[in-house]
Amino acid sequence: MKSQIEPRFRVLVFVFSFLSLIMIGRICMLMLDDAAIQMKAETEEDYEYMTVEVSSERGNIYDRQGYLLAGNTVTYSIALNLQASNGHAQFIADNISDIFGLDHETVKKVADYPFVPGLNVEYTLTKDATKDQLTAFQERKANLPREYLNKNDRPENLDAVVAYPNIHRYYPNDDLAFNIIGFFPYKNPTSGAAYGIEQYYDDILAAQTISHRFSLDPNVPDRIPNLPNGASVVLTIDRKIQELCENSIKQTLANTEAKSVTVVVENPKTGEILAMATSPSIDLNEYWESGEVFTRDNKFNPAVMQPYEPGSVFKVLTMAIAIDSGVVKPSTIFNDTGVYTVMGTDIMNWNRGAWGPQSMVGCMQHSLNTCMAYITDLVGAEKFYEYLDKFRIGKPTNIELAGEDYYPVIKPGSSLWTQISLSTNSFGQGLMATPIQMISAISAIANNGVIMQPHIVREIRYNGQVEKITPSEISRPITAETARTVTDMLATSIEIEVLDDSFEYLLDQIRIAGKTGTGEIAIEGLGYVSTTANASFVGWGPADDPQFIAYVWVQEPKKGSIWGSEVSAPLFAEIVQEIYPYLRLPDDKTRQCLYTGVCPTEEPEDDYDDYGYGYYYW
Amino acid sequence: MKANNPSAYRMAPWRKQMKRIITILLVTFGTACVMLVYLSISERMTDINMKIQALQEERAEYSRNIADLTTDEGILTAYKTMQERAARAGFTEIDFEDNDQYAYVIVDGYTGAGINTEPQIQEPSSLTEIVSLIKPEYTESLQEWLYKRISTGIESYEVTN
Repeated sequence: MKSQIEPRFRVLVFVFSFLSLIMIGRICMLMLDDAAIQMKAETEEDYEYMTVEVSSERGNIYDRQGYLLAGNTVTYSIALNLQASNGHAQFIADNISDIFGLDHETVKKVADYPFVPGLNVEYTLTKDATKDQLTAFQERKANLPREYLNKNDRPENLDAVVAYPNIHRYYPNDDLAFNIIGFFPYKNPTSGAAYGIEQYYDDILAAQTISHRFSLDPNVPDRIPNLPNGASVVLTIDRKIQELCENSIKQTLANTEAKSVTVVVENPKTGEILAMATSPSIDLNEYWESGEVFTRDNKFNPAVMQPYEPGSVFKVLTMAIAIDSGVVKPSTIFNDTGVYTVMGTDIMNWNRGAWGPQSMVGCMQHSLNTCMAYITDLVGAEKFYEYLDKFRIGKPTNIELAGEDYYPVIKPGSSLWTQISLSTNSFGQGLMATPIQMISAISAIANNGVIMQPHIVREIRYNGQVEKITPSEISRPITAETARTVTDMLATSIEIEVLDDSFEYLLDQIRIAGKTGTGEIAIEGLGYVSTTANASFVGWGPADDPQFIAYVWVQEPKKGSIWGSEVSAPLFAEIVQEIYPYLRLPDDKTRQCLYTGVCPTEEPEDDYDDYGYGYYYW
Repeated sequence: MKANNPSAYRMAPWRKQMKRIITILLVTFGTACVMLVYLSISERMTDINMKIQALQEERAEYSRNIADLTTDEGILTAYKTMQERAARAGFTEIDFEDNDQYAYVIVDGYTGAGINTEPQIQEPSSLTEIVSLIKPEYTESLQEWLYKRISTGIESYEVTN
């Protein structure tokens, strides 16, 4: 037995050992062979890993109450799997073109595009299919008639049609606050967000997308990273106030045929922008219209993007500078002869008239250019421009909106500056500012001499954390006493300056301080022309404790009056009448009754203030 | 000669064969057991991986639905929509020029529903930590495990003392 079994066993061991050696040798050869290594890598790539696109969503934008202004919605890309669609073109086209609103012939043509592995696998028909369309398609797919047979005598189906979800930007309020929000072009996301909050905060609003290599080898445990959504931004604007402003300015735009109408409403105590409206407007869900509606002369958000010569509203700052520097008092008399000559150049009033002896309140009432030129001479150029720096004229406000523009003030020392510049600057010519710069500067007068940082963002929410934006002081150009004095002067002067019925009605309810402005427009080769103008108005109230300040700019009205007192002031009155109750502010009479218990019953007839000018008060 | 060749018992050949067969079977059985354990672990990990992928897709779908529903809510509460709905429901705007339609009263301590109320926003907060269904035993190497044990041991020691 021994002699029979052991040799055979030894032979078997030898044979298996030899085979094992050959196998080991072959394995070694394969492991060291370049082609084999490459093949292994390719095989691993193809069969051992799957690349998964992981995305988060773009952050939302809300108004101050939490109403959604910009969010995300789901649409579907509808594609044809060419391997499955080839040969079924007619059936596919018959069954999907009506549901998705596609051209029947195009679908038919696409469905027969030849399938080429790795090259021509799928063809996207649309990227904008809605959830309702997809549901309709799924219902049809589930209830297809069985009588249509393919070449293999099997019932036709729609398995070639595949749907992939996409997230895209949606603006539920269409054109409301379009100029503040800006837009994210969902049809062409690579071009990036444009304008407003969308562009300014693009880096924190933006969704994140990463490609993750997911191992299919069960021995390689893996996990898909969790990406937080983009931050959400809560604005300071109130959509009710915004809507009221937008309704009013749309009407004004239609009535005046102006290039644009812009309104900014701010809380001077905090710097919060409550509304920033502009017209013409666009529906943000059709953002591609912006290229046709907005031009170089009529920008997307003129309130921050379009500096202009403000005209007489600037006199508010000039008067504040003169009072604060102590060169004049409200009762100081200026004798207006209708002309004030500087370096041989005559400065004249808006109506070329002469108003005789006028107090400083009279100068504001009649909006006298001559008076302003006179008082800036008293202030002196150096001090005047120092004050303008403190008022931050010619500097960006740094409000959280993309594309803020500013125009530096030309000062002494510049080759472009002459003594006449000081005079023209005093009444808002020869310098440019945006409405947001103007309202920010003038808010110092409405807020006891303090300019608060204008801001339009109330909160930023990210990953469960809330960052609240706290009001901050940025400048204190004048004293609180000067601010109160100028407010009183302007509350008095405005009663005479604006004679519009709606404005007078407003003044019956609330004591408002304000100033009109009609800025002439310089045209190359012609100089300043009187046929067109920028009509502005700035006002704040109630004068004893201002809760809001509003700035109105009607750009080049073509129909009717061009004067600020006749175009912008009535618009201001209309807006304030609308928003005042919404700010929970009773009229002055009711406020007096509520807080003192003493209710005035009739208007005193001969009541005069310290400057000799009567006004209605309690 | 016989006396010089003492006879000795030796294992019967069939016993030797049996011993070899049993040894081979034991080795085969042991290998099979190891492979079974390996297969079992592989199966569980594959299952977990598949669950992760399915949950990931489910989570992405929920996330999309939440975004969609938030926007739907935004559409339903859009200013113009609410105005129209209020009008259909018979509400009219207060005419603030008509004092008979409204009255202001001071209520101590009432801050009102004015513009300074806190925004009412309900947003799903993202998970701040990565959550994995895979136990660390499946992901950490021997060195990591040792390091963790040593660190934990040191920390426990420090806490105890």
